[in-house]
Amino acid sequence: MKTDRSALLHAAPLRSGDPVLEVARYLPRALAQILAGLPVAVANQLEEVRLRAGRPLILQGSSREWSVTQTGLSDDISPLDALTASPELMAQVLETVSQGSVYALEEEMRNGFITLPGGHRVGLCGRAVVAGGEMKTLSDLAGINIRIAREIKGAADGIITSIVDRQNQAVYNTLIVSPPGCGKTTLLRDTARQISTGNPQMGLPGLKVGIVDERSELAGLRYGTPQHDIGPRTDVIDGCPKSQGMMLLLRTMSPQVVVTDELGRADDVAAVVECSLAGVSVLASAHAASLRDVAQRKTMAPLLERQGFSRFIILSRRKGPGTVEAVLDENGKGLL
Amino acid sequence: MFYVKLIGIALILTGTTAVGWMIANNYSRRPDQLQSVIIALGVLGSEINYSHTPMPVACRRVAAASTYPANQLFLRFAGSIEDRQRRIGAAWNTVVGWMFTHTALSRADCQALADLGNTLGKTGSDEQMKHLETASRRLASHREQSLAAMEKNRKLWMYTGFLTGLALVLVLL
Repeated sequence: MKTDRSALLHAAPLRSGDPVLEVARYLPRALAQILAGLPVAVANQLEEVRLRAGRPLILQGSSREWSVTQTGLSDDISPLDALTASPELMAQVLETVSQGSVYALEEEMRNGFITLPGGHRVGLCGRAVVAGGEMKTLSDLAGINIRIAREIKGAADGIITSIVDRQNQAVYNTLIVSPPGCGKTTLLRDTARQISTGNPQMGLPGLKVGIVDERSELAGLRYGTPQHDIGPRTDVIDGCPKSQGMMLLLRTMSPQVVVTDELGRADDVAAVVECSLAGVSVLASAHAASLRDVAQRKTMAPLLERQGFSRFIILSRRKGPGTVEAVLDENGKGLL
Repeated sequence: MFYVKLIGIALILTGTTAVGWMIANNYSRRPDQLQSVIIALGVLGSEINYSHTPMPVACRRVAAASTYPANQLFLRFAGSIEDRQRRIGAAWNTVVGWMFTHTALSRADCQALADLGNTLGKTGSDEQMKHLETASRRLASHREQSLAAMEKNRKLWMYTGFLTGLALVLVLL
């Protein structure tokens, strides 16, 4: 096994504003120092920091993974001297990411993740505390997954022409479909930015975009200001359930396009239908490996049957995150 | 010679009375400081329950709205959380330890505060309110006791100071 033993000792410092440093600011000092000391090449492809109680801490890159040892990084994920995620460290991570304020994150704890400023998502699992048949919170943390959000301008360059309706100077109702970790959110964010900015060569004027950012990942709103570039004509409702947020935007911000991440619940689907009927285009994403999988989901099926969406973008990780496998029209015919 | 004696008597009486007064005054510091902490816990409860303010921001707001020593307690605690070196409970205990050595609060008062460290920030807002109310109730009962002790001891030490001076004068004469 190849081992980068000296990597941590001779790393050039990361540039300020690097998403890895942004995440480090919300982690226990000991863990933050490890991330801040990562070589630029590792930090640039770092996607996840995985802590599993009693097991080695793993840094997950796009194509490689590393453990952290006393002397540096190792390709072997369980060497004898690997830094282990002790229950104490796990509890401390929860304290720092929540800033000692679990009371302010009750809803997030129920959903199993906390979003950090900048849109980075901290997923949690452990023992569920159930009351009245519903999960109330998590205790005895068993796993923490810190996902580093990256803004990639131009991520939507390959698909934007397929979703623009030149004739009506509008955008087709579009659903981005992929399993987790394939770049749905990044693509959605950049598409929103490009639609909001407009592109005269493509016959697309800048449109008013409304983002329902339930998990604060798309815009990464902080004190009202988006941390990512989402375009000049974009309004954001942050932390609001999708269905309520879509209706609120319709009433208040007169959007021409509504953007939201990870449709799944029946009321989300109903809100998408409402938006379509109101003459507003919808750009959304859903977890699934293929269009067929989406159709098999009870809550999503009505949307496909009614031809709620006219464009489907299928993503995978085949050539790295954000690989566009296909762009399909409402009949399932490939456009790219 | 008579005037020298008179001045001596006045000095002795003033000195012992002043010492008695200072000791008596110490008894009023504890209830005042307990009141400062009880009010601050109430403000923290409001920040947690109504605004869901993150702990470091909440603590700084509480510090700004509080008198000594509660302002010091919450300012130091906010700094410790932001430092991210230690668990929050440990940081709270260190700050409470500072209160024990630098303020008039007793060991029992500080214990009531320290017990809060086991749960502070770790649960939902309803539970946080219950823990804060429990701590406030304990401190309020300590304050009642300290007020009673203050009434008793203040007079005692004021008289003791003066009477000790008087006794000293009689012996010396």
